Formats: sequence, structure tokens, C-alpha cells
Amino acid sequence: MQPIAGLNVLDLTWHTAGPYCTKMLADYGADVLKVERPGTGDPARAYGPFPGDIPHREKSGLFLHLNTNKRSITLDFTTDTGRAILYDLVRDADVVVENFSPSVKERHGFTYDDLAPVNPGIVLCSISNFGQTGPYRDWKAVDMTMYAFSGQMNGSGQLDSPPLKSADLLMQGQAGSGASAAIVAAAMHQRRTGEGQAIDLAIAEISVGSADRRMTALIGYQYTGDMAVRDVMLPAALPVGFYPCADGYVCMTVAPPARWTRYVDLLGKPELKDDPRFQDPMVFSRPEIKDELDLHLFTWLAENGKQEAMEQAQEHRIAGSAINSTVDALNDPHLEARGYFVEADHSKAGRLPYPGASLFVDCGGFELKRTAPLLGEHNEEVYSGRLGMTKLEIGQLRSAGVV
Amino acid sequence: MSTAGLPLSHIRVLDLTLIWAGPYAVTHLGDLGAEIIRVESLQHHITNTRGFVPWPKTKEEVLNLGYLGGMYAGHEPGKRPWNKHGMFNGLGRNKKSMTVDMTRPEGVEIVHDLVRVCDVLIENNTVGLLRRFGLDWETVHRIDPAMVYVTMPIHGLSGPYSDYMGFGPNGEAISGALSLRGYDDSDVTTSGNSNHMDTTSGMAAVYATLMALYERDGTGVGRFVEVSQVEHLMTMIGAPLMDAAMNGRAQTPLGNRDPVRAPQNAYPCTGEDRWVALSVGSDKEWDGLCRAIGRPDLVEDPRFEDAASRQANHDALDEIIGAWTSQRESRAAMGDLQAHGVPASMVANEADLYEDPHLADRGFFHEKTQEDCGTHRYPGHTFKLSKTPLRFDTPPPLLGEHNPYVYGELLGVSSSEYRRLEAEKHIGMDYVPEVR
Repeated sequence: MQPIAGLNVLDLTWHTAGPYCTKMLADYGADVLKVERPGTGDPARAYGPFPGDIPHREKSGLFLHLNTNKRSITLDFTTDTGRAILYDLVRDADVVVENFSPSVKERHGFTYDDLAPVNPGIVLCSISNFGQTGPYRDWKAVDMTMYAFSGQMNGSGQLDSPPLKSADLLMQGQAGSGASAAIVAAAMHQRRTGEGQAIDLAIAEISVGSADRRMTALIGYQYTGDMAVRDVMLPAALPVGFYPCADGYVCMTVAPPARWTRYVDLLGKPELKDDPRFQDPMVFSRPEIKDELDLHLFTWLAENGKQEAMEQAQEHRIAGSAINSTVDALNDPHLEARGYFVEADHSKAGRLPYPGASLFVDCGGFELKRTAPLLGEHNEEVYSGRLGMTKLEIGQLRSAGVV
Repeated sequence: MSTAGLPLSHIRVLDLTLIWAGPYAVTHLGDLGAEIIRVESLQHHITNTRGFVPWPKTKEEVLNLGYLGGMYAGHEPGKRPWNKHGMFNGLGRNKKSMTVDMTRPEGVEIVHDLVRVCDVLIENNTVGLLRRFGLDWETVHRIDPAMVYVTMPIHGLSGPYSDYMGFGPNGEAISGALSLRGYDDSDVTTSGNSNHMDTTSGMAAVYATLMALYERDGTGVGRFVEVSQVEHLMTMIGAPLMDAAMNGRAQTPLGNRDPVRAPQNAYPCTGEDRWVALSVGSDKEWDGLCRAIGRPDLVEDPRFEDAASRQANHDALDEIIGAWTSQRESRAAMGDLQAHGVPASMVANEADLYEDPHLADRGFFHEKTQEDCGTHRYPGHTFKLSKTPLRFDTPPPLLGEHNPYVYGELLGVSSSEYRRLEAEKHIGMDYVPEVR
């Protein structure tokens, strides 16, 4: 049995951070019902990539990835009728997740204070840019501006260029991940005590605390007054960072000084082991030593492709890794051997490989039980099956635009 | 301090983590009320955990270690520098530290005794290392069938790379994430170091641990939990991976730009190396931007009439926006842009965050005093729970600070036995001289 099987989640989220959170819950066993706005649905349906770059609301790669194992209904809960239906769904849910801006929730009547009378045990998880309180609470943000706010962007890239944003939507993903953890913690508390509560996850705070290990830079500033500056690598002679090789790039992390003898073996310079200069670990912070060792490193890298360089480095127990493109990653032999990508059919998007299991719990972990739902695919099942509405009632809601 | 009422108040964690990803995970378990017993050793200084080198002797040596390596409170090594390094201490809240030498049989027995009184064992060592100390899953499960055992292999426990060495950036390399980050006119070597996987893995470990505990609360059965770091990071770059799958396309970095939203960039402000980042994703936000920068005329400009034309004329827009931002202080620019509904943020530095009114209003920083570091404001929690507020009870622990509690109270070791273990250097607060 999957570890959180039976956890009943009402998912009001959209775009990335919220759907990532509920994907994590659904992939590991929770029963997630996604509520989408009638007509267009989750705006992520309009974001690419699309097969052949032809937009189609059932074929968005972003949406297909983020909404595995969920069911979808459409509901306009900004109407009175819609809100009443929403409350019906809240009544037998354990968790409600949403990522609207705080004022929207107040306007449409689904704050924690609105929902607690409906279901005292409910856990309401709110993911927002800056949190539910404070002067910036209704401010807007995208992934890059969150990276900027976190402080990490200031230290990202090169000093002679603008600060550089992070890859893809990583702040959103991390926020969703934090929310999924908070939800399970609150669910544990709820199961023991019957008490529900509100979770307030601010993308700003999880980013300030953790974008690229941000917590360390913050306490470092407290301790020393030093701030992270762009392009400051360790001034060490042993490689830490990204280096060109024969057919691309590799990442090398040679933590000083314990790896020294392995490293010189890798470079084919075993004679350096006995060189008296290298007996003192502090020598590796001297620039002229860096120049000398870099020459050996670059000579070795020029003779090897990224996959070979990785294999040789790893044979010497040195942390060297190929820098893969996403296509390389999709075809990586290790991920293939582990069966990471799971192929599955989708009625509109066809057969595609999906990123699969990353967390394993020995009672049962990731399963791809169903691909992302079509918009409103489960209306019938939920409105008639779960809420006991008649065909006529559903038809009326449909013509009123509520469903 | 009492943790009563917190979600993990019934949980004790045996913390065998190192560097960043594992300790970050454990920090969250402590925040949620679990008691954290951090196992350390006087005989083994773990690089990049309590400092990069064991024992810098002078301020000059500290400064030579560079920005990260030299992150000791006041840049002073003090008598016990290992208690003063920012990397460990930034993640040190709510943790207790005990020492034991696991390379001796008696040390292994002591840790096995700890296994019996803990609920979670969590580690992110090199794959297979703990087996040497009789702390593999099979042994631990035999000793304590209710233990949740969490391991965080970078490449997972099976497959050709399963025993490959790697740190955060190595994992980002393999995952494809690194290839998505960088300037559009340069290669990956100029994108600067990235350590984001440590944070994604740490949080994933929190989630996975909680799932196993949720299940255990129902069944009482211990569980083996594997957090496969690279594979988890890949769940956060789903769209580019789906593009590879759908279209065989390897996306490449666009610098700060976005394929859909335009304009999006970081723009220079007054002062040295100060910037504001902004992004426009709709006509409404475009309208707001034009008003914010005092150029309502641009709304009617055909060069920028829709998203596609703004994308096509991005360079021209960068110049117009830059002309406005370069006359403004970054925090003020952020406020002006947000007042007009434009997603924007100053590119904050550390000082900005400690002075930020919003973070202050939300009580993000916590002032704590630790014996060797003095009083400082520590960054705080990742989320807020309304009924069971996360705790920040204690500052980062000194090495071995909680030996009396762990040996005396948890393990019931007598005072004469305690003194023997002290003489034999299991127990102590200083690394042995050989570690220097």
C-alpha cells in the first residue's frame, strides 16, 4: 500500500507550485481531486511544450507532467452555487490545497475561518508568493523574481553581467515540495487529535531559506558581514565547478584535501603525490598552485568526452559528472537501467515517457495509475457518484456555467 | 523545552547526515517537534560540515579559506572553530549533538543502543558507508523493527552510477537542470556554481520521512525510505524534459528571458551592482509597467502591442526599462512596479533581507545566542502551521554539547562509565589532536 493512501485531497491549485505539491501527494497514494475553472481550466494547460509545438489544452507537457494521478472536475466556485458545492466537497476531504493570492480567498469565501465550520478537521494549505500576512502579501511574482528576492540571484552568474536566474521553475517546485511535507505533518496531527489547521507557505520564505542553500549565505553574513558575490568559486586549486571537455562539459567537485592522491592519479600525475609542497592542506588556497594544477586538468579533459571523463573520474572515486542536456538525460543509461522514465498512454497526447519514481518507501512508492486528466473528465463520477446529483441537476449547473 | 502538541513530538531522530542536503532535511524534522540526536565523532572531522578544514588556527587562515570556507563567526577561529562555521550553524536549530567513535566496536554498540530509542535514522553518506558500522537497513531493522530508515543516495541505490561520487552540482549536471541555466551568449562555465539540488533533496527527504511516519503511525512497522536525489530534482524540470520527450528538443538557456513572458530581465539600478528583476506576462501587466516607468505612451506603441511583438522587440524594451531603473534605487523600483501590478523584485543581497520589512513583519529571523558565536539573527522557518507553530528553541549545538543528556538520560550510562568513555575519547567537546 502506498504510504499516504486514503488521504483525501481537494486540489484548488493552478499553474506550477500548487500542482507540483498535489502531484507529489497523488503520486504517492493520496486521492487528489483537481478543481478547474470551467472553459479554460488550469492556465498551465496553455503553456508548452506541446507535441509539434501545436497548442492544445490536453497536450501541454507542463500540465501533463504536473497532474499525473489526479482526477479533474470543473467548478466555478466564485458563484454562490459553486461555493456551496465546494463546501460539500470540503466536508469529506482531509486537505484543501490552494495557491491563489490571499485576497482572492477572502473574496470567494474559502479562508480557513470559512472552511473550519464546514469541516473542523480540515487542513487548508495555502501556497502564495509572499505569505498570507505582511506588507507584500498580495504582491505578484514569477520564478525569476522569487529567485531575485531570495538573495541567491545576486550571487548567480558573472560579476560583469547581470545576475542570472535559476533553471526552469525551481522556486515553484521547491515551494510545492515544502507544501507537500507540511501537509503530511498536519495530516499526522489531524489524525492523532482531530484538529485541522491552516498552513501558510510563502514561496518567498522557502526561497530565502533554501534557494541554492541560501540559509548558509544568510548566516554567513550575520557571522562575518561577507556577502555572496557572483563568480566567486572556492579559491582552491582543486576543481569545483564546470569545465569543457572534448565533446561538451563536465562538473568536477574535488573536495580538498582528502581527494588529492586520487585526483593526481586521475590526471596521470602520480609523482605529485610525493611533492613536499602538497603535504600542507593550506597550499591549495594559493593561486599559483591553481594555475599549475589547472594545466594538468585541462590537458586531461581535452582528451576525453563527458561520458568517458565521468567514468574515469568515478573509477578514481572522484566526483566528476557529465553535464547532460535534457535529451541526454532522457537517454541516460543509468536512468534507463533504473526505469526512471515511465511510458504511459494519454487519450489525447498519446504515448509519452514521464519522470517517475524518485522517492521509495518499502510499503509502496510511486505509481503512475493514471495520466493527467482531461478537463472535467471526472465531472460525472464526482457530481453524480460522490455528491448524488441527478442528470438534470448537473445539466442545470452546466448551462449556468458553474460546471 | 517542551515540544508537546507538535506533529512530531513523539519522534526522536538519529541524525547521521553531513554537509547540506541531509542536515537541511533534519532541520525541518526538528522544527516539527522531533528530538534530534546528531551523531558526531571526535576522531573524524567531516569536510564541509563543521567547516571545510578541521582546525584553522588564525584569522588569516580563516580568510584564506575564502567566502564559504571562511564563514566563521567574526572570522575568528576561536578555541573551537568547529562550533562557529556558518554552513553547519545555519541548519543547527533544535539539534542536539553527541559524540562517539564508530570505528571502534564499542562505539558501534553505543549507536545501536541509540537506534533502540530512536524512531527515524536519516543519513546522506556515500552509498554503503554505514554498512561498515553495522548501520545498514537490515541490521537496524533487526535491532528496531519500528525504525524508519531514510537514505539519500545521489543516484539511487541501483543502476550503473549507483556508487558514483557526487555533490549537489554533480547531480544537477546529470539531471539536465544545469543545462537550462546560463547566459544565452555564453557557455555553462560562466553560469557560476549552483547548489540547488541539496535543497530539493533535503525537502524531498522531509516529505518522504513524513510519509513513512504517517504510514507507521497506523501500522507500527518501520520502513526503508530511499530519496533518489537526481531523480527527484528531475521532477522539478518536467516541462523541459517533456519537450525532450515530445519533440526531441534540448532546451538551452535564455539568460534571464522567458520563451513566453516578455519583457523579463534584471535591470540595473542606482548604486554599485544593484538590480531589479521584473517580468511581464499579460497585457494588463504591460499596461502597469508602462505606467510605472512613466511611459503610458508605450501602451499604444505598435512595436509592443502584444506578447509576440514585445518578445520580438525585447532588446529595445530592455533599453527603455533600463533607462528608468538606472535612475532608481532597487527597493524603490520594486515597490513602484508592484504598486502597478508588475511582478518584480529587487535582486536582494543578504543585508536587504535582514532589513526587509515584510520578512520582519512575518518574524522570519530569530535571534539566538550560542556560546562560541555570540548573539545572531538566524533565518527561520520554511512554512507556518497555525495550530502547531514550528519551533526554534535552541541555537546550533556545540560539538558534543549534549553528551551528558544522551549518555546519561537517554542511554542510562552511569557517571563512572561516562568518565571512562570520556577518557577513551568517545565523549568530549574537542576533536582529537590527530584531526588537526
